[in-house]
Amino acid sequence: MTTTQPAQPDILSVPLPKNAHRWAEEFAAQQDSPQKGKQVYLNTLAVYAVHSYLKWLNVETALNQGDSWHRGLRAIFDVADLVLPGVGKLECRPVLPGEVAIVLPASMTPDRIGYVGVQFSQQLDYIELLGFAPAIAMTESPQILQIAQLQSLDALIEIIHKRTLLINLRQWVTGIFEPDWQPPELVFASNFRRISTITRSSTNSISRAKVIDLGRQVLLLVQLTATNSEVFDIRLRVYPGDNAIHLPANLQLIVFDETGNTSMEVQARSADDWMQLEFSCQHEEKFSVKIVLGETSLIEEFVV
Amino acid sequence: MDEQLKKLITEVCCYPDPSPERQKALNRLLMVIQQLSGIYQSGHQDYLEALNQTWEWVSRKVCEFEVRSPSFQQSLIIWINGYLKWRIKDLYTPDSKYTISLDRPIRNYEGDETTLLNILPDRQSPSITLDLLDIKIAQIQEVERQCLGDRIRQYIEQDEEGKLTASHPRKNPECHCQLLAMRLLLQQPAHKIADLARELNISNQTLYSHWKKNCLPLLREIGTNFGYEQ
Repeated sequence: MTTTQPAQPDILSVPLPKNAHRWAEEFAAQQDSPQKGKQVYLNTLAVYAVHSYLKWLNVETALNQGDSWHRGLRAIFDVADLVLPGVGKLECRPVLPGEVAIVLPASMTPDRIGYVGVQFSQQLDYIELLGFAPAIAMTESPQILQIAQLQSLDALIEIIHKRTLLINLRQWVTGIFEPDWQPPELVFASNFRRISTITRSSTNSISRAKVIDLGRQVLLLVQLTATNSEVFDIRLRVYPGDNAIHLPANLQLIVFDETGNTSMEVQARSADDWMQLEFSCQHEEKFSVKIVLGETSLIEEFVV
Repeated sequence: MDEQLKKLITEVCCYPDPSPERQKALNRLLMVIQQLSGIYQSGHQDYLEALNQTWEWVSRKVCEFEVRSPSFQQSLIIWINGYLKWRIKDLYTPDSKYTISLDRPIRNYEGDETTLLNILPDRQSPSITLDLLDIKIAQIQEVERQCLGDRIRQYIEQDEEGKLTASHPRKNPECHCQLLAMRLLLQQPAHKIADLARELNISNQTLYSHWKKNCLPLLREIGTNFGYEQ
């Protein structure tokens, strides 16, 4: 006996309205060859479709802020990126009928949070969302994604959600800060310590601080320094709050790496004024910071 | 099916909007609803836009849905189709809504009463009016813009400042950014990195890391600059 189950129950179909085609036509007309024009046309439709889908789910997107909407950058690169403010960039790769894998372009910058497979068919009225693959660590050659190995769209939602909770240090560089991370001058002004003793300001570093309440207040300062390569130097310092002179004894500062393993820790002695940890992070690397005082603790998660 | 739909909708509605739990439940609900037969279909020029807006509306409003007929599924389809058909009409009408009479009396710049017909530019007139200047400029720019791809290609090919040709791995002067840009980006179909590395007698890894680390930022700068010029 055969059942009449839908052939592909796990696939969402997204309409491609006139508006999407208008963008695609305009962008394609600017290109210097029919092949490049076609690439731009399909990339534009793919980005528009993912933007529509995320709109259904009430996920904010900024359609015109991606490289795919930039006339110079899309003319040079094969880009289909969609900006999710406060989250990152999604790459929306067109998949043509018969294709079983997505070859990521060699010009892809490593700042994507992941890739969405967008299946086209002969009729350009709808696309189907095939699934999602989270960004893979930097490799030595361009990546190939097998369609069969794509994860469900739930994985995309999970990643978007996780990243909205992360403190994005990369955005600090562009002047975007989470509201509870304030300039150190402000945070320390209400406290006893003089700011000049705290930050040796240099042109290529950014500092922000936050008040952390563990029963007793402490101040967490994060200093981010860009280096010549893609690496950032990070310095974490903890100062006493509540106008105290010393840190609470046995206060612990712990840094965990991406997999949750302790990578370094420090503990305050009886009369420490402050304590610090210093380390370097690559682009897209995640780490979390735990501050422990007796039974109370607090975790902050960061991404570079 | 009624039970399944009811369950899916209940699930969506027990979480706040937006939340990842609600979004995942919506994924499942939309996948099932899209497969239902009975969703209105049409070849109308605004149908796809209307359908797109309908899925957004369903996602936002599904918790307000009330069953009106004995069949849950039938009732849901009627609810969705009602909105979909209304959207098509709504998208289609703006054009006619703003149709205005050419004989409508209006005041000209001097404050005298005239009709719209009198101040509209004459189609036969060869001279350009201030009102039409915007359109004219847009047309000229469109012609210019169509060559953007050509101009970027030329810029990279000529590399007058020599920035692209000057950037290469120390031991491989021929493996410079201009050549890589031509072969990996501008030529269609683009060359594979592995083939190019073999041709230039250089390791995949050296070529790829030079490309990523040095060439992509240079090309990004060029692309960005082309984006600013009008």
